[in-house]
Amino acid sequence: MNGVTRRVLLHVGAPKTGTSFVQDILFTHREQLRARGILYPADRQDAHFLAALDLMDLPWGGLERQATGAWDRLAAEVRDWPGTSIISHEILGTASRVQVARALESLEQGDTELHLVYSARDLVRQIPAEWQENVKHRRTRTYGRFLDDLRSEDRRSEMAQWFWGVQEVPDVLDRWASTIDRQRVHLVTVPPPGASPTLLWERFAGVFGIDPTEFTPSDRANTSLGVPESAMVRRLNVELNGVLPNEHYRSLVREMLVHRNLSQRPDSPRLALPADVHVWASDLGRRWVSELALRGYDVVGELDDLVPGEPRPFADPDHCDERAVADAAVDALAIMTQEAAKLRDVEVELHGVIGDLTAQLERFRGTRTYRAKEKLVRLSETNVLARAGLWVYRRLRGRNSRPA
Amino acid sequence: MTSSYEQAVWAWAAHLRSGGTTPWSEHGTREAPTDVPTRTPVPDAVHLELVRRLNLASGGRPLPWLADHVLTVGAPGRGRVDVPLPWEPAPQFGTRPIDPSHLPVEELLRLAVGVLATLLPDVRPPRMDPGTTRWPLPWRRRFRLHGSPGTVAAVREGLLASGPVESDWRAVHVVLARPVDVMMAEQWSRTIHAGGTSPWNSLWRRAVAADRLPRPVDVATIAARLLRQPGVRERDVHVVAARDTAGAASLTAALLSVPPFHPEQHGELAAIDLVRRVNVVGAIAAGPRRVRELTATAVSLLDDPAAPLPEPSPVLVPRRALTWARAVAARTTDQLSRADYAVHGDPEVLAPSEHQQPGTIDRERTLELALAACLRAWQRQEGPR
Repeated sequence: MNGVTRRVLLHVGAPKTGTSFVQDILFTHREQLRARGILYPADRQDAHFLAALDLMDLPWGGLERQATGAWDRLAAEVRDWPGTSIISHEILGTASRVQVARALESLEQGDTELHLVYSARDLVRQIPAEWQENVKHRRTRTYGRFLDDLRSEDRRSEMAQWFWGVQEVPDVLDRWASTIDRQRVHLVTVPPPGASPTLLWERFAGVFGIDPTEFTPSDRANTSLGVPESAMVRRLNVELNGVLPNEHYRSLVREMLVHRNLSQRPDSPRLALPADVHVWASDLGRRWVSELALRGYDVVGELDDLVPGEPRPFADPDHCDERAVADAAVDALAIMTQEAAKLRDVEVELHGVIGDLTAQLERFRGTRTYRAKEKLVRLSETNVLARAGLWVYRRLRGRNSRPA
Repeated sequence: MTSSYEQAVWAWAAHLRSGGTTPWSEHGTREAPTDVPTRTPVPDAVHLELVRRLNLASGGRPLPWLADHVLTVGAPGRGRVDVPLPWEPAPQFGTRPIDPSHLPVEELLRLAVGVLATLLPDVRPPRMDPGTTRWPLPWRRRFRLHGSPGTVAAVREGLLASGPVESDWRAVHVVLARPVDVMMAEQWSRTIHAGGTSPWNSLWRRAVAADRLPRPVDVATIAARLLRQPGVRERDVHVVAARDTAGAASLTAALLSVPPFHPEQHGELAAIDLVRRVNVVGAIAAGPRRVRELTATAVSLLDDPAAPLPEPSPVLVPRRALTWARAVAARTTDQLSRADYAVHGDPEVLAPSEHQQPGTIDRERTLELALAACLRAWQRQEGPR
């Protein structure tokens, strides 16, 4: 190894902590990083997402079918790299101990220095963000029921199991970091609102060993939906679930409607927590901080960043201003109508192409040779001799032209 | 070994590994064995309870290799993460402890399917019998079956053994109709056996939204389409409506003037559901190209005539779809009654079967089948174990 330490930095979440923008920087600049001895092994933007699906055998609306063997390939690249490697995906946070053991074993080789990175944000910001993420993934549960599910002791609902699986900081770190030296467990906290916009990237870059000024974030960001827009999309999900295939939902609703349009509506109120839930989330955040302070992890930022700030005004998406929902729905209808019109144009264009091809085919069918052949095939349906002749002809010609 | 909890868990694991079936709540020994695997994480309630259920299903025969294998398989999909066993003090964070005997069946099923998916690639796949095809010579009776896929397959097999040949040329077209719930189950089975992953309820949701039966079981539309085909005469198209496969076989045999035969019947909802779950995991673990192979292997494990499984449970229409199922059956019955082609049997049989109450797949039954399939897959593993 000539004195170079093989380091693997494994970033396992949490969702909604700036992971997408970090992954975007790492993917966009992967060649420059490689030249500096840092490997971000990805041939496509979602390579680590697919690897995570593979590691956890996690179905994801059909995308998992592209994931077979993705983790092993990723791990093999990492093992072959002599310098620093970075793996990053937020859904890894929910891996079970058996899956964690498999992941770590596949990455280790000789004197590998394995570092675990987990980024966390206070619950008061995480809870509304996760509900909106659920809504963008076709879920129909109301905000009120979602909050009840999160607070239920038995965590019976699948949504609650997923939420705590990726967001419960002490537990995620218990599962992922129990066999890793605590100084190599890096807890990156998301700064509170109002902090410098580059501060989070500087924290990540510090852990990754990257100069934060050399590679800067692009404009790509997961902008959040407003309250009436969230309510509208949730209701839309109720109508579309079980009817619209996932691939159409992804392109039409999530990408075109939500990300490119509804998230850009500036005047809508942002989602927050009701007062009682704010108190509960704040208490829980403080318990986490107390526990984490005892563990001796390398905290990048401040543990107090995980203690929520003052409550923000709460607008309830389950009982929100119906005029605002209607406004959002009309905007959505306008966007969808324009899209439908574009698709109609494409359809008309394709009909023109089909018309041309049909005319060419008709001209071909009008030829004397074709008419004779057609007559022979028709005759073969009733005449044994003609059928035998046709069979011999097809055998001699060497390929079967009978319809399937 | 870091805590008494871990010692107690490993002690129970050792008991289960030796074929034990004592539940966690009754297991007294808390001394861990000396040969605890150092790199294996402490097993959770779901893994250990699944081993216990496998032991129960195998009659308490020790299955140490299978038990060790189960402990290394991560449960696929979404659900509770690492369920601890009840212990004082309870952990402050993470999934809440659950007594293994009271685990939700879905959690055990999730892991059982994961285990099965890891065993299937090393089971010799079943030999596919391509069947014998005979020439559609003019003096032979020719038929083409349409309609409910499972019934079509069973009747087809019986007919071919009786002499007629399958052909499109001047054939008698027989559309086989069954109660709509049975036809939907057979259509679902067909898509799942082809590697599909859609749940039973989704099939119904889509049909209700489109307000029509899926194309392969929309028997009235199939018959009408056949009549429009060039060269097909009214007397060549027949619809056979029967409540069960035997009835469909009997009516079709009479129609084609062949001796009566007894068709084989396959599949039940829980078994199809299990194969569907295997397809979901198999598509990730083995890749979409190998899914059909795994599906065939899983089906062969469930269909093993040497070890028949207990009586299948009846088909149940999802609660939300029951009204629509009755309506579409009535509509189809009406279309068949007014049609120009011959209808054999009573079209009223299309009405969905009346059970105590509508519902969906019995997950306990799916788990029972999954355990049986795991044991059979383990017995048929190729290579060292």
